[in-house]
Amino acid sequence: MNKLLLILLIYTSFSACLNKEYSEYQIIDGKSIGKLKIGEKININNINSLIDFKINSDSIIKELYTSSPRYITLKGVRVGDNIQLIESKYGKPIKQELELKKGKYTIGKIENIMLYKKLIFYHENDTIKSIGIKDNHFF
Amino acid sequence: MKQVMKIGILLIGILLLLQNCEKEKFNNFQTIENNIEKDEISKEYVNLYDYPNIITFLNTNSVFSNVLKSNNFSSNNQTNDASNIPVLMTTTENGDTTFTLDYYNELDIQNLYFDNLVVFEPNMVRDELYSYIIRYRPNLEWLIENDFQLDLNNYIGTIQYLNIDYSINGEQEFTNNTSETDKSSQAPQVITENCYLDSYILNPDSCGCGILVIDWYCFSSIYGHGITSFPQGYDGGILGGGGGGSDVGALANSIIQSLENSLNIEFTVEQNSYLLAHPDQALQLFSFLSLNNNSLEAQQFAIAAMEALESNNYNSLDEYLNTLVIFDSPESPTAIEIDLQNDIIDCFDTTNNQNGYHTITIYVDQPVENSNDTYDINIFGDIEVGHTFIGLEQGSNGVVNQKVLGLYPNGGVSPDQPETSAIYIDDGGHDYDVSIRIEVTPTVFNAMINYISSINTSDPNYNLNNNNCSNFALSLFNLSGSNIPDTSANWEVMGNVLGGGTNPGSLGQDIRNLNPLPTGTLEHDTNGGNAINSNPCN
Repeated sequence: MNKLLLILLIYTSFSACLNKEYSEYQIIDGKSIGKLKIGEKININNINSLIDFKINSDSIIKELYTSSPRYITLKGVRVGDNIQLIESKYGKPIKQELELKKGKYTIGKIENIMLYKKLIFYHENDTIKSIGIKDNHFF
Repeated sequence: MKQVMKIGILLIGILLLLQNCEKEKFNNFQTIENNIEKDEISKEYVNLYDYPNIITFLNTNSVFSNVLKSNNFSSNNQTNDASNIPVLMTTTENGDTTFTLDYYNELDIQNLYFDNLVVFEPNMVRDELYSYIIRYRPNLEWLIENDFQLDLNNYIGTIQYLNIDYSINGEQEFTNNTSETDKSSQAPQVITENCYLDSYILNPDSCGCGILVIDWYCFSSIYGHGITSFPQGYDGGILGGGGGGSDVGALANSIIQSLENSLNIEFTVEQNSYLLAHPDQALQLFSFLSLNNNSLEAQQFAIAAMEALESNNYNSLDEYLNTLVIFDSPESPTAIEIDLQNDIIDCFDTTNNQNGYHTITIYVDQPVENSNDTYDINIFGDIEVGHTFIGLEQGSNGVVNQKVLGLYPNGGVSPDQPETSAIYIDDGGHDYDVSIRIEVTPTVFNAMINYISSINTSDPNYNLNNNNCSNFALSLFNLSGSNIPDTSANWEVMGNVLGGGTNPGSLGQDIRNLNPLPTGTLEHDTNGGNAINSNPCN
């Protein structure tokens, strides 16, 4: 009986806290992924293995991306979803391939990208591989 | 008895855990509606598409375009787009139902406000719908004090009820003194879950004053934005002769003045009139410059965009952007190809140059200045990979020849297809972040000319991973015995490794941090600038 109650207690704790964690796994367009925020100084306490980041020489976060399906955008898109979901939620992207530039010259391109003003999706085989945000507001 | 106590303690534990977790959850989504509308019996997010009567109503009342606009759809889209538009549906005990939607508000340079559209379906009159707009005019100090975090539990400001034609029907003031109970009884329906405010001060001066721009986001769409001077009434600093937040013309003038300052130009009378008539476009350009650190690239773009907008060919900056082809390609007429025979082999004297002086410069244009980053995604959504190139100079028998060249792919490359034929392009005047120039012996210089000549550009001699511009320039430069390190790094776009190799980011940092400097160093420039120009062969 005690064992059963213990199992119940552990299960209940986990299931209750899953809801709590939802907001901690939020991707906010152009602003933050989880606790890491664009434009803020990197805080060692907020770093985790599920979020990659780029910082500038002043340790200010300028780019964040995640390949973890735990994180979800405000419109409910996450890694592992089919890219059709992106368009249905966000409309047509600004770009679906990014040009490789050497200064003023174009030397090639990278496909598999869906770029929105404040969100970037990278995909392979029609499945989202990573979601990123940057300090830029894309045009 | 003992057994019962154990069970009791366990149950209390479960209850406490549940309570703690729930409390945390609600802290993240604090909303007025959690505390109000005691007669509400249900509140849920639904899709507009499931309520065709609401869509019909919105269409009939010509407000649907603003709903679509607020959800990032163009106003001429079909109603099918409404399938993903979130709506907060609330039903009350007496059967009334309200549908609350994001509602786009045009840029108002006079005041900050954010709108929601409410469609009301009274229980007793099922076929008749009413709608009104809730306009939030938050108190600026409240926004700032709350660090622009949306917490409507403590809302301070005004809430207005507007008819669809924007005439005012009622108004409520929320102050510090408004009690929680009063707020609960007064506060209307509003979508607050997943909403936040994004704000920035454009070109702040030393006091942090400037033009305050606030975007109001819900469900990831900007559906309201406003600007004002900050602090309100501020008319100093970068705003020049600008006026306060209540004076539209003065604020528009302030933006135009700031735009002029950013671009370091003086607008013509016509340009000034145009921008005064279109302050939203002035702000759009100014925001663009500010968000992109007023870079030279952004300035050039802003000037071109302004001229295009003024020509009346475009209605908005976005429309102009959609038509742009901003950059050249190596095949472009503006690119000058280096002809190996004429510009290198016949140009430099390699037989009678023993008494001359010879220098080589390696220039690195890093994707991100002073950073190892292997790429940067720029404001236009292009991937800047940087560039490494070479400057050669020979003074022999009273004749000086200088050429600046870099290796490029002579066709498109991609991580999937990294190889193609190569082409030398004249990189005279190309900008760079770091460079080093050394003097070399005639023998070494001649070996360098031979090395350049040995590359048969018609072969597939450009490879993004192992024979790119940096490989070429570094190999050539190191013929001097300089031993600049060859650091390899991955092209990792958003965590996905697409290739890797010698690259301008790493090479730039290696050159920047060289210690000691190579023998024969004449100049080690870590401040950046523009390379010398090639001169015609003498």
